[in-house]
Amino acid sequence: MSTAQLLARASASGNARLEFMEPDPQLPVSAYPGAEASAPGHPLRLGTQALLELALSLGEQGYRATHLQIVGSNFDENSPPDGVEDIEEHALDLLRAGNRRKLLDYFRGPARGFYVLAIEVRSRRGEGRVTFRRDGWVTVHNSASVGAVKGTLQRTSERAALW
Amino acid sequence: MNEVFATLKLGVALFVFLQAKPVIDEITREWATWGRFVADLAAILVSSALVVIVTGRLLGRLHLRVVWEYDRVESRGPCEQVRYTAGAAQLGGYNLSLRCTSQSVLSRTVVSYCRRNGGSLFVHLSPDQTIYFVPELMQNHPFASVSPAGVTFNLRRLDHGTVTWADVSLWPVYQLPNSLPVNCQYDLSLARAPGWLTRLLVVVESPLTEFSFERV
Repeated sequence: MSTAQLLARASASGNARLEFMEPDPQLPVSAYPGAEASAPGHPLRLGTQALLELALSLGEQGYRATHLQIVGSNFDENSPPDGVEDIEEHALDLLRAGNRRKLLDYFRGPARGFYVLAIEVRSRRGEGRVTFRRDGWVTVHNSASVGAVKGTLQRTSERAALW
Repeated sequence: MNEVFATLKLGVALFVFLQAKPVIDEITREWATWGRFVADLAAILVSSALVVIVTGRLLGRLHLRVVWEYDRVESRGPCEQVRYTAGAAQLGGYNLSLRCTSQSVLSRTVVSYCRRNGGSLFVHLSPDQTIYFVPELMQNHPFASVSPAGVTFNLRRLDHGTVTWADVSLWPVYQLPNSLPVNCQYDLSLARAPGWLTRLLVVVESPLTEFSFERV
């Protein structure tokens, strides 16, 4: 099963939503930073709250959160701080329960100082796993379902006003 | 601006004292030598009290304090050292909070003005276009907004104590040099008030005035 990449960009119309596109397959990796340029002059970065909101909205559309990549204040992915596994577990429970208020309050309170880098969700309809990251890159682990995932992400972004 | 305001406050205190002095003299005139002594003592006490009351309780300026927290620890400043590895997408997460101290009549008046007419405090870095802000988490009420250029605190809900906060992370857009000093800027504006008056009435302070980004 091959993977495919989607890239989120801020909508040019400035109406607080993301547009998901499939980058040109010929695009070399070195050209990615240029392709990321989205809002006027700025690459896209989705913060912790935006990623959680996206996962919550996907939860309402048949996706289940399976993994969170969490780091501490120094954003060092290689040496995660103590207790990060407990935080991930608790956050996943809240995500699956769809309790937006409790989830955000958890990151505002007990888990303050921890940041979400990426979220992996799994479709209940058989579209496979999807990982979306704060730089706007979305990995669809089953390339056959790129179209369906793209449509879902597009609808989610319009509803959640992520950007 | 501090000196101008201090002079103004002392001038007001002196004016009030000069108005009160004849009354004190009148009361103590009939007590001969002891009366003179009591009058001088009273004048000293009254003038001291007036300076304290006028400068502190009446004309104390509004203090807005921007606090940067890293890993739940308040930055002491004045310079925050940030070490990062080459190619890092993110340089660190910070909690920015706005705290307000308003104990004098003047500062409470300014707070009321802000709540009625609005105002904003824009926290950003200079030079710009080098380090950008990513919104991570916001407080429940949206009185702080984050753009890539910085954090804007809306002063419409200004009150005594911690007003609002925003969790942000910093990220570099361009390839940074090995060592990069960046200044923190705090720009305050009150609706319809000229800049000189804003600076006269409100003190914006923060322990953090500079970041130093070093690649390791």
